[in-house]
Amino acid sequence: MSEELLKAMAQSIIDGESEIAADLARQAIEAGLDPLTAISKGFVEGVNQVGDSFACGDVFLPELVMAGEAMKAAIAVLEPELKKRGAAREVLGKVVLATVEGDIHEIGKSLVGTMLTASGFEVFDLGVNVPADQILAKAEEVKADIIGLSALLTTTMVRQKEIIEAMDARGMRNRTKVMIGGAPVTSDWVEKIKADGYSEDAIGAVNAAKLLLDAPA
Amino acid sequence: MFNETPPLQPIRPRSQFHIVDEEQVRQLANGTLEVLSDTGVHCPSEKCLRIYADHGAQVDFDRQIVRIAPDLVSSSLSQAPRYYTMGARSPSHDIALDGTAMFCATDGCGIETIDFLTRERRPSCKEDIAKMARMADHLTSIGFYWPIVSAVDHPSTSPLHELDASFNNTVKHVQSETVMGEELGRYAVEMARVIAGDEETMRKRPPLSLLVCCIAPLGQDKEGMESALLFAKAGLPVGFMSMANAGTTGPASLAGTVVAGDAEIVSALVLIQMACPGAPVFHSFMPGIMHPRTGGYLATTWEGTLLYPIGVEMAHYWGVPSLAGIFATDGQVPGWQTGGDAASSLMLCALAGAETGSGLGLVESCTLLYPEEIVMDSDIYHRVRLEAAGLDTSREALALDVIKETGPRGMFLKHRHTREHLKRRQYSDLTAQTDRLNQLRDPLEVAREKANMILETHHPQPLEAAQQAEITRILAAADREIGGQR
Repeated sequence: MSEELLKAMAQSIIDGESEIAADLARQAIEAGLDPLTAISKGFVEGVNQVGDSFACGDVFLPELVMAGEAMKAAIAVLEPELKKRGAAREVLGKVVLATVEGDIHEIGKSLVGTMLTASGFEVFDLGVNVPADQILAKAEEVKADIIGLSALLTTTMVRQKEIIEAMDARGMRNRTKVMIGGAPVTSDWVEKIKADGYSEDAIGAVNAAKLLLDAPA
Repeated sequence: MFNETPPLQPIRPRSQFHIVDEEQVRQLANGTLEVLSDTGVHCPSEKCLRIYADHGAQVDFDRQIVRIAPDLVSSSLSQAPRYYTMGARSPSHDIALDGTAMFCATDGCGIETIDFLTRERRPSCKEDIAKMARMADHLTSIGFYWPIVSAVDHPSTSPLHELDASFNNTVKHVQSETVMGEELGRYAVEMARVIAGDEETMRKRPPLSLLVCCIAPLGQDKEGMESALLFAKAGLPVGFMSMANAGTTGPASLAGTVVAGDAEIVSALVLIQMACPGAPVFHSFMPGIMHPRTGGYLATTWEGTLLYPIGVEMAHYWGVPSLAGIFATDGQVPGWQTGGDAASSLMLCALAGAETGSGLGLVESCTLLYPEEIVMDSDIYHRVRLEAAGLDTSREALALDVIKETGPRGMFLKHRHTREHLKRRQYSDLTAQTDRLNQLRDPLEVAREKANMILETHHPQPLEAAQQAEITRILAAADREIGGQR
C-alpha cells in the first residue's frame, strides 16, 4: 500500500497535479505514514525525475514550475504534521527572498522561490517592493543562510548594493550569503557590489545556492 | 541501414494577397501580348520554329524570329494544366501543385564550395551534390532538390552526373536546370523512367522536371528548348525562367522588365503547348537589377524583391504554376544580407500564392555553397511558414478561461494550459539554442554543427539495386558516347 502511495506521490509531482499531491499527502497522514518518508521517498522522487527530464531537454519550464507548485502543496499539508511529531524535514538551507524596494517585478523572483523550494530549500518569500530593513530583519529572525535579492530595473538594482552594505554594517555576511538576480544583473555587477552569487535564471539559481552552501549539486 | 526521410512541411498561407491589382496584371499581360505579336522572340531552333509555324505563329526562318498573335497565345496556354503533381521517389514526398501550398527547392548550379572539412574555397564537385542531396532529404523545408552545384569534375556530362548524385541521395523530386540539348535530354529522360519504374508512373508522378533559362532580352536557347520538348513529350514538367536584368537585358523601369521577361517565358510555354497539348509546365520570373557601375546582375536590391511575387501573379494570369524567385542574394557570406533577402522574398512569394520556389543554400549570387547556409535558410523558411499560416483563434487558443483564472499579476507559467500549449509552440533550433550557462549561442555556429550532424547521420533510403545498376549503365553509356565527343 505505502509503496503504491509513494509511487503515486512521485507521479503527482511529475504530472504537476497540486490537488492530487495534497490529497496524497493527506492520505499519507491518515494511513500513518511517516511524513518525512512521504517527502523523501515519494514527492522528492518526482521532483528529481522532473529535474532530470528538464536537464535532458525532455520537459520545459512549465512542467518544472508545475512540479514545484505540486511539491509546495504537498509540503503545506505535511509540514504541520511534522511539527506535531516534533520532527523537521531536512532542508538544504534557508533562503529569504524579495524583490527590492521600488521594484514590483515578481515573476522571476517567484520562479526562483518555487525552484528552490522544490529542490529542498526552505524559502521565505517576502514579495515585491520590500524595504531593506524588512529583508534583513527576516533574515536575522529565521537565521537565513542566503538572502536572494531580485531587481528588474537599472534604477532599482542599486538597492541590492545598499542592502549588501547594510549587511556588512550589521556584520551579517559571515552567516548569510547574498544572491542577486534580475535582467540587468551581470557578473560585473556581482563583483562590483561584492555579492556572493548570481544566476541568469531560476534553474541556475538553484545550482548557485547549492554551491554557496556546499550542498551536493 | 537507412533513415526515414521526414515528412515535408510546405508553406500553406492562410490567405493570399495581390501585390499588383487585377488591372495592373492585365496591363502587364497586354504588354506581353503586344511584344509577342509585334516584336516577337528569337528562337534559334529549326525544330521549334517549325512547330511554331505549323501552329499558326508568324515565323521568319531567316531571322529566326517568331511572332505570336494574342489569340494563339491564349488558345495554346488554355491547354496547360493549372494543377498537377511532381512525383518523388517516395510517394509520400510527392508535391501536389494544387494552389494551396508552396514547396521550396535548394538553389542550383553553384560553381564553388566552401569545403565541408577544410573550409577552404574550391571548385564544386559531384560529391558536393550527393552530400547536399542528403542534407536536403533531411530538411523538411526542402520539397524538391535542385542539384545545388555543378559537377565540375565531370565536365562533359556533368548534368547527368548531377542527376545520378541527386537520385541516389534523396527520395525527393529532382529538378534540373542543366540538362540542355536532345542528347543529354534523352539520357535524363531514361534515368527518370528508371526512377519512376514505368512509363505510366513517370507521366503520373514525374520524378524529374526541367527548368530552362531564356536568353534575355526576348530570346530562347536552342539546346534548352529542344531539351524541354523532349521532357514534355515524356510527360516530365518543364518550366522557363527569365533572368532579365533591368537596365541591360531588360528595360530599367520595373514594369518594362516584367513585360520583357514575361514575353520570353510565355513564348516558350506556348511552344510546349503547341507540341504537347496539356503538358505540365511552369513559369519562373527571376529578374535582377543592373549594378549602376558594373552593369552586373544584382539580386540584392531594395526594389528587386518586388518583382518575384509579380512573376507569381503573371504565372497565375497565364494559368500555370510558378517557380518563384526566393533566397537569391548577393551576400558574400551567411549572415545579415542573406537573411534579409531570404525573408522578404519568401514571405512575399508565399503570400502571393507561389506553388514552388528555389534558392536555399547558396550565397554570392547563387554561385557559392556554404554547407551551413541551407540550414540557416531553412530556419527562415520555417519562420515564414508559421507566419504565413496565420493565427489560431479557436476558443481554446483564445484562453479566456485561463486569462480570467490567472488574473491581474498572476503567472501563466503554472497553468496546465501553458504546459500543453507551450509544447505546440515551434522554436528555432538555431536562434533559441542555449549553452551550459543558458546563454543564447551564436546561430551560425549552431548551423554549422547541425549541418555536420545531418551529414554524419542522415542516409536516406537508397535506390533499389536494379535501379542503381541501370542508372550507372545509362551514365556510363553517356560518358562513353558524349564524353568522347566533347
